[in-house]
Amino acid sequence: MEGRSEIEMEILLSGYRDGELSPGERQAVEEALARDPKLRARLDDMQALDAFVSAALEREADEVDFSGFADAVLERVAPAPAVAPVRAQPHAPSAWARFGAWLEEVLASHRWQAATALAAVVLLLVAGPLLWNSRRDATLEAQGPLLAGGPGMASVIDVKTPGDTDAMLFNTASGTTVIYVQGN
Amino acid sequence: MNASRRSVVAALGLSFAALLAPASALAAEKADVTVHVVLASKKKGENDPRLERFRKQLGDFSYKSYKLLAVKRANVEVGKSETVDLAGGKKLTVNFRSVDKDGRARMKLTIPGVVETTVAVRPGGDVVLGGPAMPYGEGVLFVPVTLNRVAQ
Repeated sequence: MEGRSEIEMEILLSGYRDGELSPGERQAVEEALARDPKLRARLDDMQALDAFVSAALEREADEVDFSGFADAVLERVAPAPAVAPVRAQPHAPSAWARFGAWLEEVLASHRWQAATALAAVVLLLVAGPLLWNSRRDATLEAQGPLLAGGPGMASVIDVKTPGDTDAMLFNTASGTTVIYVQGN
Repeated sequence: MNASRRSVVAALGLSFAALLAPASALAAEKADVTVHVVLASKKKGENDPRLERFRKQLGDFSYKSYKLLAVKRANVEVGKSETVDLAGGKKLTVNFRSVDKDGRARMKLTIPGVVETTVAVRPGGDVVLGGPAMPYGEGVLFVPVTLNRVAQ
């Protein structure tokens, strides 16, 4: 095998190890191995490495649990159940769709009336509470009796008075709290 | 329904929702307060029948007659103040501070130059401010402050 480069020799050795060479190439490699101890040692290293890798892969495979693997595969490739034909059902429009259709019709045929009604609704929503409150203010005189509260309805947290006045707290017979302020 | 009309319908729907939603979602609590301005005098006079209960409750103060000068109402938002005129240039400021866990409204009541107090009042309860430090006419002023309710 004189005249071949190292790379070519590696390829030939690899092919020899895997049984991929032609009879002529195989014979040439065997003759070279018989003559060259280094080449023989190289082949031994390659075969030892192959054996080590094979043993490691087998150990890995032994540790994996393949139980149920076949069942899982078969289950995944099992034919899907046949689907019964479904007859199309008549589609009932939703309430929102019906409202939309109605509103569209109203807008198309009664545009000004619809706008006026909308403005009235907005006015009622905005001005209604104000009108109601002012109405309540105007009827204050018609309220119920004064000091309707009973005991425990109110408590005084703190009282402060200017220097020339003084405050006293009283509870009336019915429980109303009076903060009675006197000038000094 | 074409696309533009669908857009109009959707916009109208959203407008309705926007109009209705803030009233409940954004409304702050308000204390509905009534302020009565009462002139109490040690001179005999006519008693306002609306003040009969008040007269009985304040019987210990030896006033002979009671006259209702004014009734004011204020809706005070929590964290805010409302000022009402009393009489003789006096004013009452109601500051609605908070609602306690037991439902009492905590309010600071201030009559400048007279008194400043913080009270906790249940809806329906009242506190009376007044006395000789608030002279008016031939008598003195009493100011019953009633919390009607707390609402949004």
